[in-house]
Amino acid sequence: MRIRRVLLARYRVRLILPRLLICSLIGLLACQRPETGSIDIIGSTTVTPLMEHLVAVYSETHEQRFLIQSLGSTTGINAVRDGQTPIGMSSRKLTQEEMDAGVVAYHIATEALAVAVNIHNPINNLSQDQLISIFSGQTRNWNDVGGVERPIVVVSREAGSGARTTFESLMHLVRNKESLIDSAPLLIIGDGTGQVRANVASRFESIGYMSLTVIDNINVKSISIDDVAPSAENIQNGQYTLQEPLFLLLREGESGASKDFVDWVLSPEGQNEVSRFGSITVLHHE
Amino acid sequence: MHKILEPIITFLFKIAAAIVFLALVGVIYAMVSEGFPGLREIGVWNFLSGTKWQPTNHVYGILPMIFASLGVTFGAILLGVPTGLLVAIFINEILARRFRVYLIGLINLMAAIPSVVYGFWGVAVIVPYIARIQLPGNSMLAAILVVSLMILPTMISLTLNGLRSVSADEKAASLALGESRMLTVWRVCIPRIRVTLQAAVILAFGRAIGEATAVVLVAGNHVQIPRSVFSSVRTLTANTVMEMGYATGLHRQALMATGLVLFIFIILVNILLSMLMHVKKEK
Repeated sequence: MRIRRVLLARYRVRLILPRLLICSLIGLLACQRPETGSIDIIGSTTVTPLMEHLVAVYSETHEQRFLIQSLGSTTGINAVRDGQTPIGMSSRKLTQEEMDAGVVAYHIATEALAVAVNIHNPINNLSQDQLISIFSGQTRNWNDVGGVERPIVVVSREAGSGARTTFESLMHLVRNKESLIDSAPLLIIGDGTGQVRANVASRFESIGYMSLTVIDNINVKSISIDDVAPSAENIQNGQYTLQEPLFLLLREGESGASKDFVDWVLSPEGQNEVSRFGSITVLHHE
Repeated sequence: MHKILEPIITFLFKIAAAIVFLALVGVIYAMVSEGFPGLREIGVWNFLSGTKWQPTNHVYGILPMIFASLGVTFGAILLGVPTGLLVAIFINEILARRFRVYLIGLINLMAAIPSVVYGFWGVAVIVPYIARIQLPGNSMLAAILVVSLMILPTMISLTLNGLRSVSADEKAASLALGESRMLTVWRVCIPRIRVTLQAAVILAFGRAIGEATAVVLVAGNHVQIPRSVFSSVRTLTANTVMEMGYATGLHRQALMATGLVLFIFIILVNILLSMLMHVKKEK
């Protein structure tokens, strides 16, 4: 009787609770999957939508998990260079310094870098000179380029963005290593592709640049440059020159699950998925 | 049994306090160890008075961002502190007792909402309204409005606690002498809680100057000296958040130095506020 009462009272907590805790801990540890851990893919916000699609398809046939982090091209390059992640994404070419540091870029796709305006904007075409003038802040009103009488709001990416670097170099918007975009009077800088698109979608007077695949034609639309529309054919026949190369990055000599994934993306099967997503494959390029 | 437990528990408390202290020391150490060399290389005067921020050219001038941070912070304080004070007075003096718990619950909820949600709300509601008045909409004003909303719960909770602690006898005495209710609050309660108000304002200031996530979404992020409240600006915190991910070398040291500047600002404001409060007391 006394033993029973004691067991039910004081010692219950002392005996049962710690043992329960330890058992559940062991149980949780045992529940861990025996396969390899997930692989981080860090980098460009432009490459991210395509990468999400490729990872989803890859996971259907291979036992490998990936964790995609959209932090910007330069962040991704640095992460690969410093060994923080096995795979990186970039939407600009590597500098000589980055290549010397042991980062290898694999060109997996090309996307049209489109200039986007709000869906309600009547403008559908601009010349390259007009665009340079707009993005450098010299043309400040839409009616100077054939639109309505409203000030132009330029939306750009942040300094470390691959899309921005690619855009500026192709549009000759850099003088003495200074970006001319910074002299636009009404300038909004969005942290990532999504923010740039949101800023163009929510404001009639906005103009910005982003990869063609994120343009939904519901809130934003792409415009032609010198009457050349950003389409897959115009990229392949070379008429639309504003192209963003998409790279997957590995460190020199990397092998294993990361290399297998990159090889898959470059294989005919992977390239098929790239074109299914809407980007331009590298296989067709040659 | 208690003989063994007592020193163990005391020891655990000491360990917890030590961890907090060490964490603070660690943060300060990180800022100083990377920030000082950066400041030395850039030059403190160049850093603080330079108007161009171009990491690719190794040009690091944070003056426009200092203006932006101060503008957003003081704007938010100007809006948020009086409003918070008045709401606290309302809850304590005017609101019927039975509703008090609901309103306080709502305010606690506001305090728990993540900054990024406030930022989204700013983008969805505040920015379009401002854009109608003056483009681009993403502006210092938008940041001020969003941040002032974020410091309200802090202000209200602390002031409310202070008001509740005012002795009922003093209030009763004032009312008995014929003073009206609102003036009683103004002349009796508020002066009694001076120290609490000081703490609340300092806390609100810290929150306002340190806010980054919401500000990045609504302020525009253009590095320029603001020409008006409608200008697109980049605060020191927004800059750090946007660039820290890929900054290396001198760029990274410059960002750490930015953190150091913010830290010194907060200390200076604390000292200033304490001095102001002491002067008033002596009067």
